[in-house]
Amino acid sequence: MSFTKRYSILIISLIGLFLLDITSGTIFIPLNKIWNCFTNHAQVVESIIVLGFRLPKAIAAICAGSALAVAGMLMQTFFKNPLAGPYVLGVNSVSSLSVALFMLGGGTGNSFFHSLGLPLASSLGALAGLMLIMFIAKKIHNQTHILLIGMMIGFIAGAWQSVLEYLSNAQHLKNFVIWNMASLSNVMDTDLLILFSVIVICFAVCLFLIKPLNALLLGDEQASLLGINISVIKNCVLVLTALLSGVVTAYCGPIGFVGLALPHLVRIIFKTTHHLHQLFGNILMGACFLLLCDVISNLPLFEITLPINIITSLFGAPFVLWLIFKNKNAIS
Amino acid sequence: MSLVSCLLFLSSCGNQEKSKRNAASLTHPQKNNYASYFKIFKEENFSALVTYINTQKTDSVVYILYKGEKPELSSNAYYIKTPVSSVASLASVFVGALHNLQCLNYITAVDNADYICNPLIKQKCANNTIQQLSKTGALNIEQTLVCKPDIILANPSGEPKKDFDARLLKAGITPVICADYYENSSLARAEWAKAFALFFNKEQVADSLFSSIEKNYLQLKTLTDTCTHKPTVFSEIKIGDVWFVPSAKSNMAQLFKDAGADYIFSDNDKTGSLSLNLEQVINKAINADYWLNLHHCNSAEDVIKLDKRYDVFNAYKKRNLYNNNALINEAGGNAYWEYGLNHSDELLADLIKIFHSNLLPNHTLKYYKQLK
Repeated sequence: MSFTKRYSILIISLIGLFLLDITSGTIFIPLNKIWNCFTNHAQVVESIIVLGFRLPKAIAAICAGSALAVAGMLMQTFFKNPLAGPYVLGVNSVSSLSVALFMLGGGTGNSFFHSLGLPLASSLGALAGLMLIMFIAKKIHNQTHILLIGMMIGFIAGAWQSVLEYLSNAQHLKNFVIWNMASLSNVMDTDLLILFSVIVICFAVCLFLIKPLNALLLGDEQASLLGINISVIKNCVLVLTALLSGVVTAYCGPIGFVGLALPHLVRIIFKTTHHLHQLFGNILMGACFLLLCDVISNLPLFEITLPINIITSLFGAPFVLWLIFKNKNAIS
Repeated sequence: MSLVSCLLFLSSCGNQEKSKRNAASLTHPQKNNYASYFKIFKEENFSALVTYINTQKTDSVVYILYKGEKPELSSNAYYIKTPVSSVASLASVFVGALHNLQCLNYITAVDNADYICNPLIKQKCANNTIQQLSKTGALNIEQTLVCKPDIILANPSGEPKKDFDARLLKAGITPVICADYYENSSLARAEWAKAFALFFNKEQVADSLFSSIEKNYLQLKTLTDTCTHKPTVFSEIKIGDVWFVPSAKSNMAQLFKDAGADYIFSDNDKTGSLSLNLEQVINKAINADYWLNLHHCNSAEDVIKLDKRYDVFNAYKKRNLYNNNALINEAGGNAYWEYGLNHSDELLADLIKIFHSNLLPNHTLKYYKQLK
C-alpha cells in the first residue's frame, strides 16, 4: 500500500471519527439538528451541547492525541528505546508533581495567570523530568536500567505528590484530584487556543528536525559525521517533548498509554523509520485514537462519561498488544 | 405492644468483630416516625440501639446501653454504660446533634477542627483540650488510643473491619457507626437525635427536640400544599466530568418537594444520587428556575469560573443561584452540615423563602445565600 493510500485512509478516518464524536453522546441529537447547530447559532439546547460541549472536546482530543503520540515518538528516538514514553520514564509523574505544587499551592482559578501558569508548571515539570533522565542516560548506558530509573523517578514524584495532597486543603485537593482523573471536556476557549497554538508550533519545529532525527537513529557518532550538532538537536527534542507532553498534561490531565503505544502502531502501519512519515503518521493516528477513545467513553451503555484514561488503557492496550504480536517483526 | 421476646438475627460474616453484631434477644421496639437506619429497643434494665451500616440494611450493629449493672444477655452486642464520659465525633453533623442535646461537654475529640463551626469546640481544639484525630483524613489510631474516648461517633466507611478496628475495641473504645446520611428524608436525619441521646441518658430532651422540629416542619409544609405554581429546581455542580444530582428518593429531593418546588430530576425511583454528565443536565435543567447547592461558590462569578458553559442555564441568567454556605468559617467548615442537617425545619424554611418568598415574608435565610 502506498503512503498516499495510507494517509488517505487515516485522513478519512480522522474526519469520520471527528463527525462521530460530535454526533454521539448521552443525549441523542438527530443529524439534521446537528447540521442546524453549525448553520443557525440560536441558543437552543442542541446548539449549546454540540458547539459548547462536543466540538471543543473533539478538538481537544485531536490536539492531545497527536501531541502525545509525537512526544512519544521523539522520546523513543531520543533514548533509542522503543519502550520510552512520557509515562514510562516518569516524565508525566514529575509533570504531575509540578502541577500539584502549582494547584495545591493555591494557583487555581480562571485568570489569565492560571491559564498560562498551569501549562508552564506542567511543561517545566516535564522538562525537569526529561533533563534528569537525560543526565542519568549519560552516566548509565544500559537501556533497561534507564527504564527502571525512570520508573523509580515516577515513584518518587508520586510519593511527593501524595505528601502534598495530604497537606493541602479540601478545595485545592478536590481541584487537583479532578485534574488528575484526566478529561477532554473541560478544555475550551483560551485554554483550547493555547493548547492548539503550542502544539502547532511544536509540530512546525519538528518539520525542521526531520533530517537530524533520522540521523540520530544511526547513533550519535554517525550523526555527528553527517554534520549534525548533536547537543543542539537533543536540546531541541527535549524542549519539544516537554512542551508537547506538558501542555497536554496541563489542560487534559495525565493521559497514559498514547505516547508509548502510538509510535509503535505508526511504525507497524507505515513500515518505515523515516521521521517525516512518523511525524505525520503519529499526528493522524494519535488524533484518531483519542477521538475513538472519546467516542467509546461517551457510549450510552456506560450511562456516564468514563474518564478518558480508563478508555485509553482498557480498550487501547489489548488492541495494540494484538497488533504488536501480529507484527512483532515490524517493530523490531 | 407484644410481650413476646423476639430474637433478632442480624447479619454475620465470620470474624470476631462481626460475630459481635450477630444476635441479641430484644423486646419492645420503639417505633421511629421517619428514620429507618436505626432501631431503639426499650427494655426493663437497658436500652438497645441497632444501627444499619449499609444501604441495603443487610448488616447491622447492636449496642446494649445500661445504667446500672451490666445486663446478662445471651447476645454478643457492644455493651456501653451510660452516660458515657467522653465522645469522639468524626463528623461535624454529630457535633451539631450533641449541641442540640446539650452534650457538647462530652466531646473530647473531633476529626478536624477546620470543619467545625461551633466556637466552644474550636476554642477547645485550639487549647488542645479537644484532640483532632483525623487531620489528614485517616483516623490516627495511636492518638485515638491515647485520647481513649468511650465511644466514637462515625459514619460507615463501607469496610466494617476498618470501622470496628480491633485495636480500638481492645482498648475499650466502641465505634458507634451511624448511617444517618442514608436516610431519604431530612426529618429522618433529625430523628437520629433519639439515637444519640441514648448514650447520655437524654431521651426526653431528644424526644421534645424532635417533636418541636417535626411540628415546625409539618406546619411549614402545609404552607406550600396549596401552591399552584411550583418553580423548577436543580442542584449541585459537576465534579470533573460527573454531575452528581440528588435522586428522586433522596432527602434533598424530599426537601425540594416539601418546599413547593418541582425538582427536575424526580422522574426516577433511585435513592442517593444520580451520576450524570453535562449534556444530560443541560438537556433537562437549562430552563429550570432555580439552581441550588453550588459547592464552594460565593458569587455568580465563582460559578462561571468553574465552567464558562454554566451561563447557558436560565437560573444562572436570572441569578436564581442559592448556595448553602451562608454560615461558613475561614477554614471552610459549614454550619449547614453541622446544624442544618439536625434542624430540617430550618432548612425547609430557607427553601420556602427561596421558592415562595411571599409565604414567609419575615423569614431571613439562615443557611442559604443568594449568589450575585
